[in-house]
Amino acid sequence: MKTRFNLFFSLLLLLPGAWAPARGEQRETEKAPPTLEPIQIGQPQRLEVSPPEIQLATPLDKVQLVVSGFYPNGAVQDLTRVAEYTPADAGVVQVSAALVGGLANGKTRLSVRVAGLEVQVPVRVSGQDKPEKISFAYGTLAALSKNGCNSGGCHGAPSGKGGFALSMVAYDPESDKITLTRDFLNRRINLPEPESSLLLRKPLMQVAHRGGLKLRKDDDAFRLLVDWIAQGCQFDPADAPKLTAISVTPAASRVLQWPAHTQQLRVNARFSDGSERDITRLAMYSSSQEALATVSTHGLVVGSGRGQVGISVRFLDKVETCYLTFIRNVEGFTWKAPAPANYVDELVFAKLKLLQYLPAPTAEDAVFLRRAYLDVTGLLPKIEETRAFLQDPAPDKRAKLIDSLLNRPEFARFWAFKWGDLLRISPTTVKEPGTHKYNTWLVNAWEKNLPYDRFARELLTTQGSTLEVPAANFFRTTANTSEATEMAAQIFLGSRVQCAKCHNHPLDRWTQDNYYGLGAFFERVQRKKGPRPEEMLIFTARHGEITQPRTGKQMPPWAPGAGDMKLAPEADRLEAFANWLTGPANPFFARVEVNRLWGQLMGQGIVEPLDDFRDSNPPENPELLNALAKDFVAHQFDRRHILRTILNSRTYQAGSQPGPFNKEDEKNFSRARQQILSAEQLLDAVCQVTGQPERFGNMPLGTPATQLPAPQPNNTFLVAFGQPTRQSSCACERQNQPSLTQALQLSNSQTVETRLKNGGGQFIRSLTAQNKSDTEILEGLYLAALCRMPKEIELTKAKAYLAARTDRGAALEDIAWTVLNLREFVFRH
Amino acid sequence: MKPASNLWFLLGLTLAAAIQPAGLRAAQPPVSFRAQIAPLLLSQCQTCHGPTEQKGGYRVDSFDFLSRNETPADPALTPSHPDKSALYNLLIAEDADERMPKKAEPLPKAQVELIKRWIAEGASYDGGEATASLVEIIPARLHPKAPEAYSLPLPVTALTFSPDGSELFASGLRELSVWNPADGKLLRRIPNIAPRTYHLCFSPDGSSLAAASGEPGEFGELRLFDPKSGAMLRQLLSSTDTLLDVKFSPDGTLLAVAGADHSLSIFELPSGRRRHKLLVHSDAVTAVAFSPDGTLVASVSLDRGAKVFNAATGKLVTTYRDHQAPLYTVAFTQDGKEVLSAGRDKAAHQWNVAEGKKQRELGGLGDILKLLPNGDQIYLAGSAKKLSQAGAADLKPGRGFEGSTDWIYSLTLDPNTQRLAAGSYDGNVTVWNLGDGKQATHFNASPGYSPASQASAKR
Repeated sequence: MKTRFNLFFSLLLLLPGAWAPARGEQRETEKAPPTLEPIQIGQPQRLEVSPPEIQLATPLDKVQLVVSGFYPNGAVQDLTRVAEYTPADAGVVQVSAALVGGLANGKTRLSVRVAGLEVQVPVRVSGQDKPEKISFAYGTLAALSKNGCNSGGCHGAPSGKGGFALSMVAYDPESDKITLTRDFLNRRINLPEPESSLLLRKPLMQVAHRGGLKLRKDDDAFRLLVDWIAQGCQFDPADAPKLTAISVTPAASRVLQWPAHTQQLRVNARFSDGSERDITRLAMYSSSQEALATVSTHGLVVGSGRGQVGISVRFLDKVETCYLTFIRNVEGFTWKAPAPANYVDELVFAKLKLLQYLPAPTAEDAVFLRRAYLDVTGLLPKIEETRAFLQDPAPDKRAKLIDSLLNRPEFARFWAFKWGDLLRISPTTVKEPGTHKYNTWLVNAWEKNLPYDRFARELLTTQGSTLEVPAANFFRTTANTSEATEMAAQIFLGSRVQCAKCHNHPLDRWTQDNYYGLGAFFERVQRKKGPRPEEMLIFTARHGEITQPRTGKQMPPWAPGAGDMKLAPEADRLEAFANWLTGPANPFFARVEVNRLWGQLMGQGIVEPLDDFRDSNPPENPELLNALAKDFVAHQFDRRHILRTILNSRTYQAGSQPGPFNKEDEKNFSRARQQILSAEQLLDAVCQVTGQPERFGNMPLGTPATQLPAPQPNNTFLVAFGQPTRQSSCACERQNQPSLTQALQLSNSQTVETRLKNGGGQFIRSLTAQNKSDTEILEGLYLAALCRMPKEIELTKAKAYLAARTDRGAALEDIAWTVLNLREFVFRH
Repeated sequence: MKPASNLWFLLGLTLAAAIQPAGLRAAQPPVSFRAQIAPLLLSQCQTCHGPTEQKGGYRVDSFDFLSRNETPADPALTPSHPDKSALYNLLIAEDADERMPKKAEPLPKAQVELIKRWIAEGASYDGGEATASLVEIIPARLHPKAPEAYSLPLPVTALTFSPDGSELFASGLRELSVWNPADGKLLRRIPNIAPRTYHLCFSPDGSSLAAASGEPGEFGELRLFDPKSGAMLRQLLSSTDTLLDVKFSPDGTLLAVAGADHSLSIFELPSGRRRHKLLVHSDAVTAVAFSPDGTLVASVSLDRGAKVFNAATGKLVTTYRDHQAPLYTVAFTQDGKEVLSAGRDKAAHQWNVAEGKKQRELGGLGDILKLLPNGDQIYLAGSAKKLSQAGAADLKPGRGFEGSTDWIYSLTLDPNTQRLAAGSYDGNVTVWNLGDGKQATHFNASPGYSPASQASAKR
């Protein structure tokens, strides 16, 4: 095979924009601790102090104050740092850095003053004359969690660290009790001299600790642990109040305009006896985007960029999220946007306007055409289709094209193929006949635009022979209850629940109980071999219960938002699940699917990853997600309607070139995303341009890769560009990280090379047929590969190259090869 | 290194020593490596730069390792020149990522100064053999006084009857307490003991009491005491973590010691020479036992493994791997052909020495932390808060002894008075008469502790 490497470099000069994969372009730079801008107090109209009244019940009880100033222009800012706090009776309470602690039992008022405004907060202090009895669950375990002792990377790892294994974020208090006190011959605790306990000396680094310094004597955690030990390492009585909820202040999402960029949070815990407690200093905080805002261990959020961030607040098994949007005036920014085509644009533009990013101008026809074809059908348009569209003067030609693309058979097959990834269709999971039947079922569903609720219901409730009712293959791809639970949650709830199988989810509200509660819906699914070869019978038994392995408790069916479900003992639980899933009370179903549709068209979800919905990973534009979901439900779960709405928006049709006022935006859809074609799209595109189809097993020649019922593990080109093997329902299985193999596949592989030379130059003959002029040949090549006419400079250079070569065929091969290696060809933009 | 620079180096040393002002030395006694530097290196550096881990290829667990200077360009130790010694420079580095100890606050100034001064004074070594490990050269510790009265009970992790059965020795905090087993009265307290003691046992001739003890995560000590006066007779071993068990061979000529530093050592008596240091377990070794003829030693570990060694050669005879949880206790059967082992997997296993194959097991008794053989019987105790008896050969369950109030950590038996005693997590000791199985006494072995005072402290 002739290598074209030298040529590659010479042609780099000839034609700009050759594609070479690059890795690690966005390296994260280390950040110094954020500096706080001085607060410009100005003149607020009104002050709000949270909490409105304070009760301190023990000497360790501390209440965080949060002071907000509301301004006439509608702005709000956190004034906690600058307010003055003066108790009427300084003998009863003291305030230090907006943290209120009791000194003596009694009643008083706390005056909070800023900018000439004052709010009086009544304070009641009790219990100061006796030490607080430390709760094991909400003191000891909370302290260990707060200081990271039981995090997944430390002693919360499955086998712990250094022989000391706690349960991750205290999901298993019973085991932690033993580990802390009685295990290893009481090694970790020194009861008569609490401060000498190894449990404290290690994280204080008084004894060498591989985890480093994790505890300081002025941490709240230190006091709690010392007191708990000094009180004899007591456990909570069975009737002790249980934590029922936590709440975060500010409760509503807040927009902060620079120089306002900080927000103190306050976290409150509620217990089953009705009591409450401020746990701001014991809760754990994390930011959904560290680059945009960080959060301190005491709950002070500091923003440094523009955009929305979710601060996830965790206290043991309870998780809440506080949403903050940081904006600032950008010099020279004036709002300018195309006229919104529909609500998508209105909501995207509203967010962009708020953040002061400019939407990119609408893309040219040629760019839109190529993008729409690739996104909707997976394929490039034919040359005639391109010419016709480019020459069509009709003002509504884009809308017409969208309608026609959505009605093509290629559309149904391409989107069935996408679902094949999710449903893990392959001969390994459902055997050869199953692959074809299941895929055909999917193609039909897309062809007849089966409403998504019915689509889901058919997958979840179809029982019988996989050869006769292909949707029954849904459960065939799973071997047991766990796999079925995880797949259903990932696909339909957008939740990665796997973690909760063994312990409470570290980033989400899913507990281990929830996991098995959800599993109860799938516990009765039966998978039996059928009488015919490669046939499987899927049906549900009338009995069968699931047990939570840690507690040994039998779990009733449970669904998020609905809680434990009371079902008749022999009720069909799959029906019950489908009813709940597609019912109006389910907050996930519609949102997850519209996000998936959005992500597949836009290259990035409103929630990203597409199947990782959780409070700590908030949607970039919640209003948009909600509007799409609402529209989806209003249109009876019509997926084609949602696709059409998105495709017709200016947002979808925007150009992909970054401009000075949106180059920093990666998440708010100010411009179209440039991204490498999927493995299958790229192979189809190469085949299409060269007119040389690829053969896939015994599929009819000419079947595009984007319409295959199953992956082709032996196709090196597809594998190099990230074709998944469909072993997981996770959207993450499809990887297209740039690699050297990819560059080699395009520049120097059989896939490309033989196509240029195939059949004694069949491709070149087709290019040169009918005695076409150089210009005509080059136009044809550019239209086929890039959906546009060559530019003047490209024509001149390519013609000069042709003129300089004696072997015209070889020279054309070189030029075609170069076009296939252009970034413009390899990318959708 | 070129010979010329060697010469320069030597010259520098001599010069440095020569020009050191005599007055300075007289004002302050020179820094002792074994007494002042070694303990510091042990507590601050050895976890990451010692026998188990050598971060950056560097170790400090002996003077030999410390002074090797593996990277001549950046020597760890340049005598008389702290500023040319990485050992010092890394302690004062500005960059927190470079400074030692990693991920921690800088060492206190006084400690850094001490190291600086030691190097400036010529980095001399006063610990004997340069390859001896740091723990072995540091002087025997003096332990602070025990609390006058305990605010909370200390778990009784070690308990033994005196050879005549008249006294009961129990572990305390930095002490041993001695009790009358008949009435539970405190007889005396033996001070200057490491903070926690994990096993006590008398030599077969009754002349000395061996204590395996230490401070968790910091050090371990094996000392022999005069049981009457409480005076320390000798320290046989100092280690980097607590010592958890000690047993004499039946003829009194050998001593086996188990350590949380993963080691199992066998000493010869009366010489005190360490015959073997066996590092074959991958976690703390929690218990050891001699076979009745003294030729074999069995050990169990938190690594879930049980092993048998030849006491004379130190060679591994058998490994038993059928346990599913950390192990805490081990014993031989009367004929020495089988071993009983148990721990947190809630069943005692009996297996043969020849093949390491399980013969039978006894479950239903919770986590078993102590096995105590007595002729053809065996006593088992642990998380079930009671003592159970079984046939040592057939593991046939026998009677139970009730009365303990928490996890049992220690067991002892006196053949003369036919008494059995158990010490538990809540600091209590329960004594039973073997004859009728009835409880003789039950008392709290933390001197001065009173539940009433604790209750009032809690409120």
